[in-house]
Amino acid sequence: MSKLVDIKGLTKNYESITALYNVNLELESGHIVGLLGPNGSGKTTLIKILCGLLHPTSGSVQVDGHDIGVETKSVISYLPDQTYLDGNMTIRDIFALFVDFYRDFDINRAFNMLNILKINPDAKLKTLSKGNKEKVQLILVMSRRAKLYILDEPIAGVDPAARDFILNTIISNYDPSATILISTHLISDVESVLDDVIFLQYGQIALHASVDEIRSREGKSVDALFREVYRC
Amino acid sequence: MLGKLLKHEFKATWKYFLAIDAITIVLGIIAGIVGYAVAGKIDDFPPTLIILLTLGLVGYIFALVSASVLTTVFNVVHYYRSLYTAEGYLTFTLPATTTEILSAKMLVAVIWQVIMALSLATSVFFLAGSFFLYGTVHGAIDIQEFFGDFWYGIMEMLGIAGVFGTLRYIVSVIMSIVFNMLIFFFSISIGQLWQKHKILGSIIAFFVTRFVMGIFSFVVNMMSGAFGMLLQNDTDPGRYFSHTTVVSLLISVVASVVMYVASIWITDKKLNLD
Repeated sequence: MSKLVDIKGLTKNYESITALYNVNLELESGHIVGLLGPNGSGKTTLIKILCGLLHPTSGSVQVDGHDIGVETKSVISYLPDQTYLDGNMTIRDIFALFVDFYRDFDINRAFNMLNILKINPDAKLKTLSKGNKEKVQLILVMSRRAKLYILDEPIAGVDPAARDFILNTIISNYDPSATILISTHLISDVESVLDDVIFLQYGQIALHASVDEIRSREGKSVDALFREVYRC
Repeated sequence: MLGKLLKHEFKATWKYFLAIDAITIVLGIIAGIVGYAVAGKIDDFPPTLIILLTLGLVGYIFALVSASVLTTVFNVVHYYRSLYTAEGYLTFTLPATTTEILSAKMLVAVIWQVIMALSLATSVFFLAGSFFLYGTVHGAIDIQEFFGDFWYGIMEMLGIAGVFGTLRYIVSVIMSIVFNMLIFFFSISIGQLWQKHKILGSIIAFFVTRFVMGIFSFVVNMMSGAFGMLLQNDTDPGRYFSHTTVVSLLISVVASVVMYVASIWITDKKLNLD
């Protein structure tokens, strides 16, 4: 397996607050990885650095052999934890934008998924319900043939039916040669699809192991271990 | 990539700006038609009609000012929203450099401002043209005389006479638009350095930048105007402005370059979307 993400000695400070401290992490291609941790543990900071939305204070970050930049942005498909598209755009316009900027965007796949959901492609994004907005954003992200998918809280704030759709979309569109990094609090919902988990605590990696390893070594589920590690 | 960014920037904004520009020009055409119809007859009108016409003219001027302000506000809000709010998560994860992203947004904003300036000029041209047309048709204005000494005198006083002067004036107007828009963009970038209250930070940065640039330009222009007149032994105070035009242009070019580079650097190195 090739090294897709290579992070060495990563530290990120916000003035006097250290969000990440000396993080070392390697991710290989072909895994679904859960990035887990309580609020303020550094998950979003790590994701933002991988996506080029933040600069590290020190350390190096490489994706697919490149420092963060235009090359890495073209192989990362990122789903933020909020609506990030212009509400005045129609879904068709947004698809056109993705076709223009991402060579790996499969527009037929996107329209097929939209068709299954019976969402009108000529509808403006602002006219859709919160759940449908989330689904459209997920369709955009999963219709790319990216090397690394980064999904920040993809199932937070949606009803259980929408949650099932989102997880099914992730699994059914998953290219086994790619890696998916999922940040979430809802561990029990995603545990069944994860290969590996990363526990972040106080800006450092507390655990990086495969789900099978945790189950055999600890004799408990990832959800149970998470509750134990982060007990208040 | 810059081409694609420009394309989508125009696509995202054209409806609003073209609507404002079209309204501006249509208002000028209406004002021109009314102007031609009432020219030379004002003295015969009842007071109520004169009041109505005056209100109409005031409304027209107010509409032009509003159109100009609205264009600038929309440009600034769109720039801020597409870069530094949640929309920035898409903008800054596109496979393009920060320089390309910001340049595309700045360039499109300046183009819309230039088109607005042209729309305003066209609108006023229709109104002024209607009176000019009326005057020439009814023999009140001699075209040769008007475009002779009178027009040239005004142009010369402003230092924009001749082909070179006109070109210099056009470049100055465009540069002034670039400079003014860059103050907004630069201030927004400075506001991003605040951990909280980023909008407040941008507003403070805007007024500080405006104040500093205003003082600096005033002092340099005063000196260049005075020195220019002294060096050329020019005693006509009406020609004072012709000596300051080039210096103003140089100041706006240098300041614009500095603000452009600083905006990109700050965004590239200090970006932190909430």
